[in-house]
Amino acid sequence: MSAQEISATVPKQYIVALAGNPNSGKTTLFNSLTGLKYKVANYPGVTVEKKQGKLELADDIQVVLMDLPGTYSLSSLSIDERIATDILLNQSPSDPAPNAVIVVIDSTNLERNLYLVTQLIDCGLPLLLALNMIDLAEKRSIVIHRELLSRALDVPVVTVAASKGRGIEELRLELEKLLRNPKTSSRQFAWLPRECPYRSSAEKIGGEIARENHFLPRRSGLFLGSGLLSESLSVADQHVTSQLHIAREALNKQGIDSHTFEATARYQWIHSVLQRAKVEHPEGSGHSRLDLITTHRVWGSCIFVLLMAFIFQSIFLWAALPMDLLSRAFEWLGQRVGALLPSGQLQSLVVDGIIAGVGSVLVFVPQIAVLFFFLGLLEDSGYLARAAFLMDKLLRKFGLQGRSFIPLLSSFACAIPGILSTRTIPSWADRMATIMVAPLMSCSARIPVYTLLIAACVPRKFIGGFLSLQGLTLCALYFLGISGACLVARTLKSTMLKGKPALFVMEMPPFRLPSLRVVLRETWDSVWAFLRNASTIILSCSIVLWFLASYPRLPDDFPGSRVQASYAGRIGTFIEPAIRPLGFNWEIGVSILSSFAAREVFVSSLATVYNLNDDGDSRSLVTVLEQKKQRGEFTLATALSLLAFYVFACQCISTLAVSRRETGSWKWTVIMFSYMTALAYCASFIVYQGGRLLFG
Amino acid sequence: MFDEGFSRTDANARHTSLNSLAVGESGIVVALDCPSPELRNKLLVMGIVAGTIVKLDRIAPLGDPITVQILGFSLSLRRNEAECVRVIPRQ
Repeated sequence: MSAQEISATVPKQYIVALAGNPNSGKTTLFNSLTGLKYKVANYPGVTVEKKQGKLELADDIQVVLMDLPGTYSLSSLSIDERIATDILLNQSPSDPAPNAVIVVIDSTNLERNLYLVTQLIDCGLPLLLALNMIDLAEKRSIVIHRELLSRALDVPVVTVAASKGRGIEELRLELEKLLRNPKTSSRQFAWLPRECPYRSSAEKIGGEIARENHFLPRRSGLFLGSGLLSESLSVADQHVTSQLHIAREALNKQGIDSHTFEATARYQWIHSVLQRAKVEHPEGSGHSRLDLITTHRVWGSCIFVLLMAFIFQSIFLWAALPMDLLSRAFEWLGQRVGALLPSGQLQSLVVDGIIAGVGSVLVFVPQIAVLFFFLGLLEDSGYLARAAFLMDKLLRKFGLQGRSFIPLLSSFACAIPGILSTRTIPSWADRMATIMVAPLMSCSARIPVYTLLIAACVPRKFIGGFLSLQGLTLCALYFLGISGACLVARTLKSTMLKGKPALFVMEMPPFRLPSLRVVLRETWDSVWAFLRNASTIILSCSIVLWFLASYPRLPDDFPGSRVQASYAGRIGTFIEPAIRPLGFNWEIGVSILSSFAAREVFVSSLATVYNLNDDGDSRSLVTVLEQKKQRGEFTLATALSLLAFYVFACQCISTLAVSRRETGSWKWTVIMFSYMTALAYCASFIVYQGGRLLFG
Repeated sequence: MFDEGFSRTDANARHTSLNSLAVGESGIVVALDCPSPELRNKLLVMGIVAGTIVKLDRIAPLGDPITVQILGFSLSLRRNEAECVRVIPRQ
């Protein structure tokens, strides 16, 4: 084989970034291009999701497609924008600058989407425009002459309907062409007239920075300069900052407000581009009847409440069968493995410790999956923005805002994604308040605890023939958490987080049919992430707890309770006086302590404690609790007190770790843990003492 | 072209605020008079620049926020945020 042949068979690797506004269908296009073969990671230091997929364009071209965070502009106002800007300007510590950028454009919303394009053109990178959702634009009789637009912007343009797979092949061909023959647009700074004083100031400052930073793409110094002038970028350099100050003063003297000037000039240029490209955009918003109904004064609110109620009912209905199957599977596995292993300590560890412990938590994965699925549907359809719109005034009463609704709703699945999604809240105070109360939303890890206790202690009665008492109890628990959150948020915003009100301004995307494939894949990603992150904690807690419950080894003729004599029992007995006013005995105490790592561990540790206690076959925990209830060892008041405890208690190491990272301080993490524990203790105390008075 | 930006001192009596438009009414943006630079920057990026036509589209069930039609898309903002957008009502 000759050297030439070898080099032909080794494909060259390119990095292509996918940029675009939020709601431009970027994710759908990313999925179409990569065929759902991608990896999800985080940008280092921050937890903005970083998706990377491989793309084989030709024998000799291999592309790593990098999904940038969705942004309206390139500035450093938000973390998402800063990450995108850093990568595009080759300032990211982890990611090299891309060889080319595909910009995803919402064709029904061309004018505003082109704002980002004008900035990307200024960055001096080879671009390829993907006019996405072209089918919807056609439906709304929006005429786009692609050739004319391409000529006006001096950027190749492809029309695409990513959700239908239309235009994907052509996009790939154009990308291949662009990578083989990289070309930047000649329209760099076309919006910024030569003789304008703003330009000369920007050039001066851009040149200053470019001299220091040789890694910048060609001519992006001017982009940095213009961004810095309009205060949309930030720079630490003292020298540049003082230069900036002088330049801004000079512009102000000439009556130019730099930011207003930049935005106005860019939009003016976009306007002229659209005219040259003969784009016809008929008036009218194209909102559907659905759009009007969902934000209607009466119907909008009704639909909102019904939708939320339907989702919570579905979590139980849809998940019931797979949960039952999983629970049987684990029982079967326990018996099988138990029969294979010689009886002794190893058998006990595997069957009673690992299989019983891990199994009783994994059983709840179907519920988590259903929740993630619904959240995905709400998000992808555009309903979440409606929810923020509907809820803003209400949430503002409690010191939060409409945007807090999405993180808080996500927290019903898991506080971790909830806390992470607070990044979309630009105001620090609002974000902090949302983070602090997010763990009060009843997350899916509480569902195992809730369902176990409700199933064991709340009667299976129906009020009026259709309202299940058990379902109502569950609703009440969610409501209790929400009320607590409102109270805490309000208190925080009027004390520690006092300040000027934050921005709400938000795009309201049109309703779109969510892609089932994408939502299912995202559900899978979320569930997998949950399993990956939680399984280690759950497994190790199961083993540690099994150890604490089984040791020290006792003689066979040991008189009295074996569990109580174990390490676990000793700890539980030690703290019993403190938790007795809450109606908890040492067994519950052990389980609460062990569930500090993760709430759902409560179920498995209680299972371990009780299974060993009754030294019998692995019976269902619900049955065990029901029997204990009949014998009066476990009362309704205790169950309700436990439920109240789990509504408020911060029993989750991951939540604390994420809060530490997101708030950047131990102070807020400590505050979160302390106030939640205090709240839990008080609530439990009130519920148990009240319950004893009511039920005797 | 440079003097086409916003002027804060324009005392034209026909100006009103975006917030005081009725549902279905539209106006042409003449100035942004925002107390906070963050709000101004955000509105500018979203396309609320001089000359843009905005139409008050909907009011949330609780009376706030509102949505406006601009450049063919819906933008949702609070009443106090809409207050600083100066518009000339269109017939």
